[in-house]
Amino acid sequence: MCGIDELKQVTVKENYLSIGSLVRLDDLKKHAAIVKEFPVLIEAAETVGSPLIRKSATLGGNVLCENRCIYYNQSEWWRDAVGYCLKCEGNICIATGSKKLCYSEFVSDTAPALISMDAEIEIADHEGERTLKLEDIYTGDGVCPRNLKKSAVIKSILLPLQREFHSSFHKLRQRQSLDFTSLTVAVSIDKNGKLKSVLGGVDPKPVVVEGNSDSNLEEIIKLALKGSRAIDNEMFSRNYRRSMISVFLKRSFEKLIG
Amino acid sequence: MSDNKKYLKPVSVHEAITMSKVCGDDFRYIAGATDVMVNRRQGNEESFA
Repeated sequence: MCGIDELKQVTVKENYLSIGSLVRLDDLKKHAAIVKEFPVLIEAAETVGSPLIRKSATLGGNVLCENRCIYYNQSEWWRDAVGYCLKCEGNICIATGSKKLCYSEFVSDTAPALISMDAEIEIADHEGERTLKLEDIYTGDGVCPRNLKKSAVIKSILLPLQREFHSSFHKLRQRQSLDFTSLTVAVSIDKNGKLKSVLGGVDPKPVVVEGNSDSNLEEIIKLALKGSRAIDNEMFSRNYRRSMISVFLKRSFEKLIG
Repeated sequence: MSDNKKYLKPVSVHEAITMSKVCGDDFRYIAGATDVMVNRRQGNEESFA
């Protein structure tokens, strides 16, 4: 698929900036329109992996980043000894003991930033082409975190122009230089005062809380905590990550609203 | 690569969709950059989904 040039283009389509799914994360900052209109996307992309990874990783790839869990991201040897979890063809969640739900975490860094700016996704598959809100491709089921067909190809990510977004981005991780997220908080507010907060790393899908410039911070925090189904399945504890949701949202509001 | 798989290289999205239709259900897109070849060599087929 890497030979498809049309997936590597950044173009303007009507009132949207279309970013091809094969645009590399390190190349986002080379496009003036992204730098000017959506700097938070560059900020988010620069927290992905290492510089070497960002030179080969693509925006489409990061949006589809596989969910993670400390009980899933293990060697075959480890799984053989401890047992296979729901996400690995087993019949029980090792983290919670549940036989129904997998809580592996959504860890894309760019998707929360994109969703906070009302990004859409252009998809082609055997049934044709369509455009969806980016948050609608995530199921919330850790075993099958996306509802895309096997034949689906992500053509591009569409970002609305002329909304004059002001954004904030925070990422919690063990090592600032490399790790996957333990909590991502992206908040954007547009020129009309529409506010969208998006959390990653605390649920099998991005947690979205919408409001406006007059929204009560405590209410936003309450809704964010209610929507986050974080469990103890990574290095930081569930309680610490939930505490940090409040901290990051407060910092975001201070930056954006004052 | 010492396997029996056939690799196709589409030059457009339309061509990729057409190729996958011809293959029925027996295909996988490969567009990865960071993990694909590592997983491929380990025989982790699911990583191609």
